[in-house]
Order: sequence, then structure tokens, then C-alpha cells
Amino acid sequence: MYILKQLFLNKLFLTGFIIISGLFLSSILYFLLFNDRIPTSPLLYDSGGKPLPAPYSFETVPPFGTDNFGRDLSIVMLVGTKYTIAAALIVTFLRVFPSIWIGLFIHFFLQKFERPIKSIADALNYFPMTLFAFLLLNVVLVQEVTSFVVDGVQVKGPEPLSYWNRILIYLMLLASLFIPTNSILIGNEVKAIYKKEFIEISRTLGASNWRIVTKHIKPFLVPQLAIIFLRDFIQTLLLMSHLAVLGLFLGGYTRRDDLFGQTNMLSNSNEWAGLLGMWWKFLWTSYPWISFIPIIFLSILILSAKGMMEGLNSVLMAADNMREPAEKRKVNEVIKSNNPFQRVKQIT
Amino acid sequence: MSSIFGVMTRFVYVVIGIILLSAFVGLFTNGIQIEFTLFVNNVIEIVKSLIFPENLIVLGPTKHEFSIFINFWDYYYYSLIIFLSALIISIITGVLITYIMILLPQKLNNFVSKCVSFSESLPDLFIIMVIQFSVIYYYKQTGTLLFPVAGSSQDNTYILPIITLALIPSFMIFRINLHLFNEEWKKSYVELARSKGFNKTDIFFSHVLRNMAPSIFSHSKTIVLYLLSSMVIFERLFNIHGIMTYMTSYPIPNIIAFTLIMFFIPIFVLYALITTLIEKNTGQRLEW
Repeated sequence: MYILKQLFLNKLFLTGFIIISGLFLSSILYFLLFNDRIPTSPLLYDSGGKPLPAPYSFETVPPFGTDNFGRDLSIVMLVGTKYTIAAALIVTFLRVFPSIWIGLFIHFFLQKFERPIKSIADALNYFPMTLFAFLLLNVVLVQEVTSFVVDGVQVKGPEPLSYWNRILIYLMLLASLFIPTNSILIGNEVKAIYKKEFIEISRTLGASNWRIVTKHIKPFLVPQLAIIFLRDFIQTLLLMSHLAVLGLFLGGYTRRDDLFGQTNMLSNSNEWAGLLGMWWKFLWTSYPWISFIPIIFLSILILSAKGMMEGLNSVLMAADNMREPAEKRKVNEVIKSNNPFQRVKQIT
Repeated sequence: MSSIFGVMTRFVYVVIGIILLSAFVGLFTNGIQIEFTLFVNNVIEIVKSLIFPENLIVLGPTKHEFSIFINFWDYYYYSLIIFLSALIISIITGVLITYIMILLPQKLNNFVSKCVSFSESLPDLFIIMVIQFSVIYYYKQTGTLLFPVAGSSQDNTYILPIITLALIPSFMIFRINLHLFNEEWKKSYVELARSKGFNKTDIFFSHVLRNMAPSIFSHSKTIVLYLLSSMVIFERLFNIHGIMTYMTSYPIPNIIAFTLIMFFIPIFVLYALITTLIEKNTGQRLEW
């Protein structure tokens, strides 16, 4: 409880927390009040009566302008917020929570195999995670049946899965990719705590593994888990945005005609990473601000999580220092006398 | 001798890990087929084609089979040059920033290190976007293109991707360095050197850096991993035709395994050499 109270007095943590929860809550509120309705601006005309081209700038439609469908970008971003944060939270939770149990299991029951398991899990690091996730999801998230010709025969590609299945698989895969490394990490943490003296004593007094885990390891592990959780939250967001640039995003896309009848991809969930992937191409056009909007929001989200992490770290450090009594400083004795020089010890 | 053995077992573990993962990817190439026999088949297939590289075959656009070695090495060297130069540049700039920070007064030092710790966690996509945009903006304003923003199949772009790729890792190295430096600076030999009248530059480059080098090296593994997973994005966004693009366009298990293993061999050789050198000179065994 003490740590929690200190946390909310910490400026960095509080700012990060307020930004993230503020964004999330406002997005949910918008859903409840307006049911995610995105206002579209109709085709606008200039003073001479000529139609203006579709992505309107932030001067015509404040605050962020519109995309080429005429949708108000600020609202699109707001609608996407809850999906972004919720997806990242779910993935992070699925990543951390099973890893706790696997880590404990490795530590308590598989100690003999610890080294080989660690080495193999370490090898997973050398397979670029973005590439791995891309290769796995590329086929799974396919939306349209592709057909190609082999030996003069029309062959159809794999059938697309249903909408919710795709989302489910996306979340599960992103989570499970990191379970091995996370389990090893948590296993190491448990090992470090297990070496403490009081656990040895507790074991000699006959405590079971369960009791040690719940009574002695838990209080030390939970703060570490909070840090791991925040770090994974950041990592998940990064991975999601990387995958989006490669063209895979949550909820997939639908093809729709924009104001001028050109078919374009449109993200279903308006989730930020997906928007980033879709709008990157605007960087090369004369409306580059459109591509900057999602990445700036994502950066804000990541930086607030980072701020929470730094705040948590500093609070934990302070708590640690309090727990261990500081060594009494040795004060050099000052000899008071009127003479500038004096023999300290009388030689007998 | 034992260190060479250690490195070799490590190499074998990583190769096994890559083979298993590539075989796992093979389960997803035609829809999801979680079958153990298919997995085992994939593993056997991969091992076979690693031993006999002429088995590495891709299907061309006209469904014509050809060996990957027609153009594999071009992709390979291109990626390798970008990767290694980004690694080296990031380490050098990281050390240089640390040196500059040391010369600054303490208060400014704290402020800047806090800023760096935050900018280190900025998404790499943000940095790519800002850099690409500013180069284009400069081009629009003045008409001179500083660096080619994206590559094409004819001419390759080097400078911009390398700089961008090296930026965040150099911040990471700087943060690690600063931490190591603060610990090293408290030690008594530094105090002695300073009391003898050496200036900070001398002490930093001839004593402190030397003692920090092993730790910097063992931390550089995170940098390597970071660079690896960033490369995928960089190749897409800078339109680089490197091995990551190669793997995404031909997602066949044995090609993935072969390419990744080939890419790790230089890294391993580099690391094995440096570890043995450090062990000989300083007597420190390094874990990496």
C-alpha cells in the first residue's frame, strides 16, 4: 500500500498514468455516447465553386483535417484509441501471466534442464521477432482468396478465417512469441529471490513450496512483474506498429471507394498501428501530416508507459533504501582546541 | 581452448533454435496445419538442404524452379554491410557522446541523460519518418537531394539507412556507458590519476574506457538483437532489397533457415574473436 501511495505522488508515474487512462476513458466514453460514429465532411468547394481535393488540411477541418474518405481524423484517432490500448493490454497480460507460472515451474521442477532450456530460449532471440511474427501471421490474416496458376490449372489460395478468429489468432500469436523469453526472465528473478536467507530458514522450518511462493516470493516478485508488464506493453506496441508497416493489422481492412471513386484500403478497427501502416504512403504526397498523426500518438503512448516505468523504478529504489537501514556514518572526531596544531595522542 | 568450445556449443544451440523455428514457420505456409509429422518433415528437409545447398530452390514468377544462388549473395552482402556498419557506427557514436557528456557540468549531465533515456524508447518508426520527411522537405525547398531516400533495384542506398538504423542503438549504448562510467569514476585509481594532474580526456581514453570495454561488449548483444528486428522494417521502408525482403518474398522454411544461419555466421565470428581477445588481454571471461 505504501508503494502505491508513493507511486501516485511520483510526478513521472502520475503523468504517464493520467495520459494513458485519459485517452482510454475518453475513447470509451465516445463509444458509449456516440457509438463510434465518425463524422465525414462532404465534398468541400472553394470560393470559386470548384471542388477541393479530398484530404482536407487541418486548417479547413480542425484539428487534424480529414483523410481521403473525408473522415474527421481526430475522431478516427479517438475511436481507435480503445482498440490500440486494449489490444496491447490483452497481449501483455497473456504474455506475462502464463510466464509467471512457467517460470516458477522451471525453477521448482525442471532445475536439471534449466541450462539447455535457457540456451534454446536464448537462440529464439536471434530470430528477428518482427520477421517471425510476420511470417506466421501473413497467411493467417489473409482476407481475400488469392488464386494463381500452377501448370495451367487455377489453384486457389487458403480460405480466409472469420473476422473474430483472425483477431483472436493475432492476439494469441503476439503473446505466445514472447512467453519463452519472459518465462526465463521470471525464472531468473525467482532464483535471485530464492537465494535470500529467510527463505532458507523458512524451508528448514518445513514450509512447502506453495507457502514459500505465496508468502515469501510474491512480495518481492510483484514489483518486478509490474516493471516487466510495462516494458512488455511498450514492446507490444512497437511490434504491432512494425507489423502494421508490413501490412498486417488488427481487424484487417475493407476496400471502399473514397470521395473520388478510387478504391482504397480502410482499417476496420481504426487501431493506431493499422492507421500508421495505411497512412505511411501519405508521407510522399503533399499531405504528409496525415502520416505523422498516428506515429505521434503512438509515441506519446509509448513515452507515457516509459514514464510510468521510470517512476515505478525510482519509487522501488527509494523503498529498497528505506527497508535496509542505512549504515551509520562514521564522523571524524574533531578536536577542539585553541592551538592550530596539537598532538593527538600523548606518547607515553 | 575452453572458450572456443563454449562459443561452438553456443553456435550449435542457436542453429538448432533457428532450424526449429523455421520448421515451425513451415506449419503456417498453407493455412494453419499444426501436425507433428509435418514439423518433423520440415526439420529433415531443412537439415538436408543445409548439407546440400543445391536443394535450395525457389519458384520464379513463371513457376520455373531455380537455385537461390543466382542473386542471393547480392542481397546478403548488401544487408550485411548495412548491419555491420550500423553496429560499428552506433558503438563509436555512443562512446563519443559519453565522452562529450563527461566534459559537461554535472547538472546539465543529469538533464541530458534523462532526455536520452526517453528518446531511447521512442519508436524507431518515428525516427525513420522524421528523417525521411526532413530529407524530402529539404529537397522540396532547395532542390538538392542530400541522400537518396529509397533504394531501387539498380542503385543501392547506403548512407541514410545506416545513419537512421544506428541512431537509437547509439543512445542505448550511451545510457549503458554513462552507467558504467559513473561506477568506474568513483574508483580510487581515477582519484589517484586526477590528483596527479591528468585531465579528464586522458583518464577517460587511456584508463576508464579500457576498463569499461568488456562490459560495453557484453551489453552490445541487446544492440545486435535490436538491430536485427529493426532491419525488417528498414528494408521495407527504405525499399532496400536485402535478405529480410528476400525471406518475406520466399517464405520457405529451408531458405529462411539457410539465410538466417548465413547471416549469423559473421556476427558469431566477430563475437568469438572479440571474446577471446578480451580474455587474453584482461583475463575476463565474458558471457554473451
